[in-house]
Amino acid sequence: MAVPADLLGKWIPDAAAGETGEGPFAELEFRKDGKLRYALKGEGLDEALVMDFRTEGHVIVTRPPGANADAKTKYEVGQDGSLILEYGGQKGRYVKAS
Amino acid sequence: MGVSKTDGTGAAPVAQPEPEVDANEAAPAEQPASDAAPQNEPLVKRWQPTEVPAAVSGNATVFESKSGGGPAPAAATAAAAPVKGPGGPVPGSYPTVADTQRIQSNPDAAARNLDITQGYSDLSKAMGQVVGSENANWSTFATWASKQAGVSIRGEDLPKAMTDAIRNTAGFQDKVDQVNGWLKKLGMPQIPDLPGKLAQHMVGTMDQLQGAIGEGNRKVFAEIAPEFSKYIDTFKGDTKYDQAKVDRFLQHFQPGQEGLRDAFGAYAKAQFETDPKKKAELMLFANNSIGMHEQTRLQPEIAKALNAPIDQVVKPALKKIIRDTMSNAGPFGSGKWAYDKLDKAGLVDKAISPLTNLAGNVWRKVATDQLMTLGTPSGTLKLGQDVPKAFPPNLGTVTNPDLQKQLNQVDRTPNTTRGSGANDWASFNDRMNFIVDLFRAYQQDPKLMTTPPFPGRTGSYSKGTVNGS
Repeated sequence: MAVPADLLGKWIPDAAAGETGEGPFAELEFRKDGKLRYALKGEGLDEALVMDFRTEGHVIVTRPPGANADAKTKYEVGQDGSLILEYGGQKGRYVKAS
Repeated sequence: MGVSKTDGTGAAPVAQPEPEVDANEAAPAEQPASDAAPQNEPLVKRWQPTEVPAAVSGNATVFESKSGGGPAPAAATAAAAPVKGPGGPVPGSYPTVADTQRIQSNPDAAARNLDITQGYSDLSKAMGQVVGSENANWSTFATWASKQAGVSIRGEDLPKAMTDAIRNTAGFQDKVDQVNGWLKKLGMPQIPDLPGKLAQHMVGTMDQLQGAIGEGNRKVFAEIAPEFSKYIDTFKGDTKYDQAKVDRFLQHFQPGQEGLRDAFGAYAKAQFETDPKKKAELMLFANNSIGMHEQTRLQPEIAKALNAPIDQVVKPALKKIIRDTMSNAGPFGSGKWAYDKLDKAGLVDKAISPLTNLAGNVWRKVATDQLMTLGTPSGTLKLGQDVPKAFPPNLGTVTNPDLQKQLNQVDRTPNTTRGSGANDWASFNDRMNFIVDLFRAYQQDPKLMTTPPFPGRTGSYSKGTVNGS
């Protein structure tokens, strides 16, 4: 299944955008090969979790290593180009990493 | 601060005009000083027949004169018809050694505390009949400290105190926002009502504090109450000082109980001292000696209660909240993995450090307030403030050399209550600096010698529960 083009690339939470590097932050990378790289960066941290993903409509379906069930995360790419992810009853806004 | 309120001595400073006690706990504002029986007059039963609930009026309202078993018939009779015997307090009007052992072994901390408080009260009165009630004895102070400890043991005011303290702490919300901002940069959900969740966890951990208070209450009663009972049994009815008898009595104290030996030796002298000032000073020396012994014994419980809040209480609680939030609601099922990586790198600890420190301060304040407040018929004392009462005239200065030496060791501001407030209740020296002034200022306060109410009690000690059921 093809990955939606507007999802491809690296994203960071908008709260981390424009920061001076204080504190750790997350970086998401959706790849054409269907891999999602979820990375933790900053403060000397460079850890990454790579998992398969697919989309079902506006839902991203993942299976983290060791998990025994799929995780489903609603998403939407807004007109301003931001990525809105919905999980835990809350929405998180991401912007393209520079 | 102290688990000292767990028993008699550990009271705290700052009296306010009116006692802060609720309707169920409050002692009568003005109970007649005659509640304290004069020396060598027989003890009148605490509960007159009309005061005993009908359902239990046939049961004992006093301590049994024998250990174990049900109410003592003689005691029940005494309750119905106050006894006026010539030899001081009658058997059954105060706990026997066996009674004290049975009371302290009750595993129900709340019920045990009520028994302990009532036991101290009855020992105080009986002791007053033997040595004189114009000066409070240690058991008098212990009554009110134990009563206050019961409020903490029963946890009556902890949840509200904790929630209020968090809500009213300046800057707390800012620290909460910092934690949520940290989570946001990680793409993690915000924690709704983090202050409320934290308060819940912290209240839960107050069990540790309550346990320490309850254990201190038990421990002091178990050691000291039997000594009062033995003293009353041995010296009631005596008409003159008998040095050989006193020496024999004091021989039973063990190494490590020198303070108790000194105290009861001084009580024996006070019993027959006719000069009011000399007698007052002997009583103060005795009370202080027990206070010092008690505070030494209580140090482990006090330290345990006060010195572990941040690392053992607040930080684990906050980390659990964050871990649960990330694990249950992080994106792509990655929350637990992310938390573990961040925690391993020490970044969780770093992120929550400002909030942890502030919450730790709140926890310690609430815990300290719990331990550093003493409700008495003369007002609520706060141990962090100076004793709010002047010394009685015959204790304004001290001439007894033993008392002088004792006060020189622990009283930082001689002959004044200024500077008596305790900065750190975990410090033995701070506690004793306060306690010796508390004892001295209130030793002749007749209100202190009144009997606290024991709501809901039948007065039976036979079954080891509050209501004897």
